[in-house]
Amino acid sequence: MSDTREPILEVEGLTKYYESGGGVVDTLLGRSQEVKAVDGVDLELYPGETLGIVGESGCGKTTLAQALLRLIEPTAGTVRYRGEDLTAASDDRLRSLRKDIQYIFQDPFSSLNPRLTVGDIVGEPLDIHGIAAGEARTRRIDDLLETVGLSQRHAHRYPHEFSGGQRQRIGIARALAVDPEVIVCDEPVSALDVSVQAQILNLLEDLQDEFGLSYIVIAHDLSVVEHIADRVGVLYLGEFAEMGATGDVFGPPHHPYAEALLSAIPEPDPGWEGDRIFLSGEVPSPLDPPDGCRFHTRCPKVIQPEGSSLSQSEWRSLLDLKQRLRDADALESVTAVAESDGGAAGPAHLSRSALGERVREEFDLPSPVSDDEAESALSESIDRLHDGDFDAARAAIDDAFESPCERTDPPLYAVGDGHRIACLLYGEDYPDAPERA
Amino acid sequence: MALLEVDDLTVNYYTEEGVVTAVEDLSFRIDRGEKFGVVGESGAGKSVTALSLLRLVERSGRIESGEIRFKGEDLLSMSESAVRDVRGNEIAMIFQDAQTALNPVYTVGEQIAETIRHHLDYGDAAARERTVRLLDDVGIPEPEARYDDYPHEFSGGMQQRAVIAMALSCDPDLLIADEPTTALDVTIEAKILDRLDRLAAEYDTAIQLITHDLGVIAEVCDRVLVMYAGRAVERASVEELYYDPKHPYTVGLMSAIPRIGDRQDRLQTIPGTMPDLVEVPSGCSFHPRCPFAEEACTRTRPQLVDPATGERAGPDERSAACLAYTGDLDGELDYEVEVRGRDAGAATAESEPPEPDGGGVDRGADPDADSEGKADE
Ligand code: SF4
Ligand code: SF4
Repeated sequence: MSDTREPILEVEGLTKYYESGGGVVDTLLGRSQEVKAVDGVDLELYPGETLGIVGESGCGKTTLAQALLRLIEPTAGTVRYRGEDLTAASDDRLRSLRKDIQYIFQDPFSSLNPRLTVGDIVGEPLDIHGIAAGEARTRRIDDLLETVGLSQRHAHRYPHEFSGGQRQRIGIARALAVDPEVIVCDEPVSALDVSVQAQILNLLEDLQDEFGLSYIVIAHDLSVVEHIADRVGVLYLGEFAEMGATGDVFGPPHHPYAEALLSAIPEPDPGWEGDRIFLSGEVPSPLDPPDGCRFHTRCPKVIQPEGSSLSQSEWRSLLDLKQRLRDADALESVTAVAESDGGAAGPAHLSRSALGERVREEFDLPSPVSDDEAESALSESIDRLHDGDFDAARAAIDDAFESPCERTDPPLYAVGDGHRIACLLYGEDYPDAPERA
Repeated sequence: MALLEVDDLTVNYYTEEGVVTAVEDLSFRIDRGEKFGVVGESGAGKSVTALSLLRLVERSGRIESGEIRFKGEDLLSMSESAVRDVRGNEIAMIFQDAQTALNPVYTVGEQIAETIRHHLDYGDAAARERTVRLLDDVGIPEPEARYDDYPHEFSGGMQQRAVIAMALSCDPDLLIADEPTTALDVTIEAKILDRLDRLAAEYDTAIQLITHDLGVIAEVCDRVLVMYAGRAVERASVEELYYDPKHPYTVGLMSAIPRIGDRQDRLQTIPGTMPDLVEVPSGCSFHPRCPFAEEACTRTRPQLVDPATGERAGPDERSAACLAYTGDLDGELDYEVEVRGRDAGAATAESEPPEPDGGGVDRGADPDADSEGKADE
């Protein structure tokens, strides 16, 4: 449906890399690394719609929002507003384009100048863009305050005299002052109490209806995004894992990451017995994102090589072992903590069979695992561990356990009308994957 | 005898703007091994309640009256050193911000081991061994290796796990957790709540969980206390609270949260914000925001009563503080609780208080900053 209209905002290949950490010396020696905060993101925003962008900390959502508006300079990519490329615009041109595209910050307090009255905060953009002065300016400010549910009496007060919800209203009034077309809202309600959060979400929706605004709403809270957005994009490590109409993204088929994310939300219902999907490990560093599919280090559905007949949980565990072994140099890293150590003897003193048990216990692996070839690779690796030869232990399983997900970076596959999922299970090579509902 | 008994606790803060009653006349019980939730928005007095249980209210605050008994002993009349013992050994606390609980200059393992040596009189090797086992218990991978890491080398989720390990290190009877997962991502939060739940059962530790998040309460707790502007307004089992809420504020909160699978166009709102505690409204402090408020609500302060009988309720009984239950209102609380779901079999409570100003663009705000002041924080 949306495809028939012209997008108001069109983003292609948007990328933002930061130089990380290292001091001057590191930079000189070429040692500094790049944080791949946002890596080649495409999106479209259509007039009058709300596009929600969700993701956990470190996924790059705020960087994306700011790079969109060139609040920070993108490393690559284009952002076209009504066909005009923002990334190529001169400073002057950019300033006037910003009239059309406004930004609302998460923390309504730090984003408001504490020394200005509310009237001047809301009036400032009117002055900057020469929109109104004198009587007209005062009238416009009064109107704006009323529009967001405040009153003209508030114009002479200072931000600290207001509650969090009211300050967010002030921020919204300020954004509306220039009559924008697009508002990018970065976590607009995450700092607010539940009851106030609902007021602000309703206000944003009312304003959209009244002024035909288009929103990009960035949030970590999936229930907020589901409530307010028409379409949703799920970010993982700087890339979209899934994108589509809200109902499609929140229902199957799912990207395995989106599915886990949804299952993790604590449901305000004591009788709810959903199945939580717990992901292995933590979000990898954007300094060195995993090869292939960025989610493969944690994905519960990570694909098995052809011919393998392991249960999915065994397979996941074997890959966890393989990853753990990659930078292990002590047996403690790959063995379970003993119930009671009975002395200081570490795992290096264990017999071959005791060591095997402790490794399997750490990774929840049965003995034997349900695939013969896999079992022989695993025990070969444990043998080498017992010899203390970590390189050989690594070699024994590195080749035996390799997932296509480690090699191939999946593009966003279309799975429905405007619904796209970046997971190999939805590609041509896996026509029988059970996920393809 | 309950593990913890709090009776008529009142805590005041002496500020430049005047005396602020952060907690007033609060009574509750926590049994051994029980998971007890305290829910409310900012300014409700949840955290002050927790701090006063450990006699940790800041200098400007004072516990004015009331009793706090832990295993029958009066915490408020104990000597400072006796309280310190209780604090380390028997009651432990986890805060939202794990970073402040960890000392940046010691390794994570060393800090936990030190607590164990100090409180449990363990030797070095035994303390180390117990620490490694605890780190493993709370789900820190490669605990042997991570033992020697400094707090900044841990992610936020790992830091909070370490804090939980430290809190559990002396096998406390009561764990007070103040917004323990609020700063974390949902996938991490889910894992940590799951751990906390299992460990509490394993160690037979009671938990007082303080949070604004009704989802977290539903997941973890057995019983709940709802606080508003420093007072308890409703007390119930989780099932009663979520399926049959009795206080209009609870009803409002339940319907204000957006829920997955429920794509209604508008969220119900509670107009206005939590009152400034310097100037709590007269009568029922919720009356400026309550859709059912009547004249009587501005004058008479409701007591916690059994909603079925209107009789004063004991400190561990189902109760709500609303005049509707004592026959002091002309009208009735007219709302419905509807059970709907994220998917089949699940349920959500959906309530419909009457719209006070019938339709139109409801800006949701109360335009009067005078009665509202700065409410959050
Ligand atoms: S491509 Fe592989 S690792 Fe990535 S989400 Fe799909 S199944 Fe999981
Ligand atoms: S006492 Fe009155 S104002 Fe207070 S909750 Fe009951 S109906 Fe509402």
